[in-house]
Amino acid sequence: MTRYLVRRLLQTIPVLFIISIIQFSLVNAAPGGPLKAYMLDPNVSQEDIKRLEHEYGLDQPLPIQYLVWMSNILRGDFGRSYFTHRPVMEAVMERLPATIWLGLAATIISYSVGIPLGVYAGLHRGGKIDHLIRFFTSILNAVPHWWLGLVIIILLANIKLATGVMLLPIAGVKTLGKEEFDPLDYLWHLALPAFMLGTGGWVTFGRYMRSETLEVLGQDFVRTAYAKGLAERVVVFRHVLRNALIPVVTISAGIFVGLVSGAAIYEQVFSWPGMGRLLLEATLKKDYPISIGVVFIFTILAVLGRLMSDIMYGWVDPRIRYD
Amino acid sequence: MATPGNTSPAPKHESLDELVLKRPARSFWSDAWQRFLRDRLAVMGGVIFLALCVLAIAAPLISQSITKYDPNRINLLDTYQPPSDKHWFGADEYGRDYFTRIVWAGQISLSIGFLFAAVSLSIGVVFGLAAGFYGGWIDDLLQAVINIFNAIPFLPLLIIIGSLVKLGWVELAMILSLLGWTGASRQVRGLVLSIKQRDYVLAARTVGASDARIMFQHILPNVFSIVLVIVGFDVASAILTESGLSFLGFGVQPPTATWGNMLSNSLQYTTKAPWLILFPGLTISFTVLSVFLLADGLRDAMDPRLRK
Repeated sequence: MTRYLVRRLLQTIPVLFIISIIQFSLVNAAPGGPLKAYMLDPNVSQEDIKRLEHEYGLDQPLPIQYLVWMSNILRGDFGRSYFTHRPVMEAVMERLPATIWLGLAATIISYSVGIPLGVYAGLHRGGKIDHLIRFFTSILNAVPHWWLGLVIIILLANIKLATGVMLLPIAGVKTLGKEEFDPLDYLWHLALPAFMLGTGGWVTFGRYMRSETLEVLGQDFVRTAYAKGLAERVVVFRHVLRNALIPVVTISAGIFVGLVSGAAIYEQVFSWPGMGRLLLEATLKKDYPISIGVVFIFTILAVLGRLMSDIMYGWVDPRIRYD
Repeated sequence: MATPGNTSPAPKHESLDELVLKRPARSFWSDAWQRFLRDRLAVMGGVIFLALCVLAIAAPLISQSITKYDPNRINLLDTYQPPSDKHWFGADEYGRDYFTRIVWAGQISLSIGFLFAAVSLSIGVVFGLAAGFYGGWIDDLLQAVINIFNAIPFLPLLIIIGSLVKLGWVELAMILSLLGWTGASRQVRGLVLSIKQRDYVLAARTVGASDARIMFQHILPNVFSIVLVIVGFDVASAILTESGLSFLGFGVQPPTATWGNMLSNSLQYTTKAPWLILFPGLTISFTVLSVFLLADGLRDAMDPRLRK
């Protein structure tokens, strides 16, 4: 197991390496280069730009710049923001917890809503609730979920206008005016963004789980389990669910990457102060060291998510051996 | 001598013909088409999608003779008009007619979808075909590339690209294709792996057909049905990605309207003009839903295992 983990972690190195090259060349291919923002500023003289170029090492040839940049990154130094001059890692780490909480909550919602829904629909195939679940998951599969978030914001905002009652917070991480950190208040604010970010996950899990449940129900070992007099509950939980979960876990990897990738949109919709919004703010200002730092951390998170789903795969399916 | 046989020799032949050719043989495609027509949801999806495409193509006509609005014409007297006879879908913050803009935006959004499908499929089919057919190092390389691509969170990368270059719809579709062809290549590869074991491929090889001939003449046509289904899902996924990216302000830039960038200022409208958020999103949802229904129906219709 340890050897497998080490090997998988080693495999992520080429991924990060290629991403680093893509990012580095992107930013340096930008018209005007990384200091464009200063060049347009009349308060910054030509000498200042020369000095800045030297300070940031921008007067070196590109491959040298890349090596310096990469060796700094390996030491955890992503450079400094062009604007606030704070270390990139400091700014990114400040925003990391909000994104992690949002992603974690969305993951939990994906599994805990999607799996029961799918199993229920599969066990009651053709029933009214099955039809209802299939109808709504088909529609939810096609609707952009962040837009659905906007629609819910419209509803909640207009209810607030009409009645003065805010049913669920629609923006930010805490109630205005509250100074100290209140975990309950945080969870309360987390609810809607996490549910919307998790929608893609639970809809997909639900659809897969339904068809897998149907598939497993038709197999001989289920008939045997029933035939030897096992209670329905035991058959469903120990035989059907366990086997139907296997393919679902394999699609988890894609879902994790999707969660990380989509964070920026949902954080924007719900004004959630995570890394996604930091990326948007920094990129709009062309503060590329920050943007690159964020995308790097995003990539690491996505890689860790895929690794997690691999480990889960072995846990759900004991036939899988790591070697 | 007059025999009864002379008076009616024809019916005998006719009955033989009837016996032999009672029903013409159906090809794979006409059979699939018949089954598709029986799937009411799929037909509905197809009709809706076709209608949306026709609306988008006819945008100049609609602008000229039905709504009588120019999609980019600013009219400050009409800002934030709610939906009415005058403005079916209301008017936006510059007083532009929203229905006209949505119809025009359809041209761009749908074009991105189709161009993405065409380019990413061309790349994906070529790689998938080569990897599945030759195996070996080509296949290993493809798998490695797919693994790397699948680990990259694309949206953040697209955001940076969008800030570096002002993207037109063609550039956007091209970038999306360069990042998004792996799904198609994986599916095609899987299918080719099974097809190349079939007897007719062996037969073609026996009579001395070249690799290229076997790939393009014998394998590709059999991959075509799955490719047709992937087109559907690709069109939908490109429309969804474009909308997300343009919503964030890093996709196709205004004043060119797309369904996504019409939503880019939407957080300011929530209480002032909610219809400005509702209509583009509903249009995206309808389009994607109709494409999904259509593609699902096509897949079922062309799956020989589901044949009754």
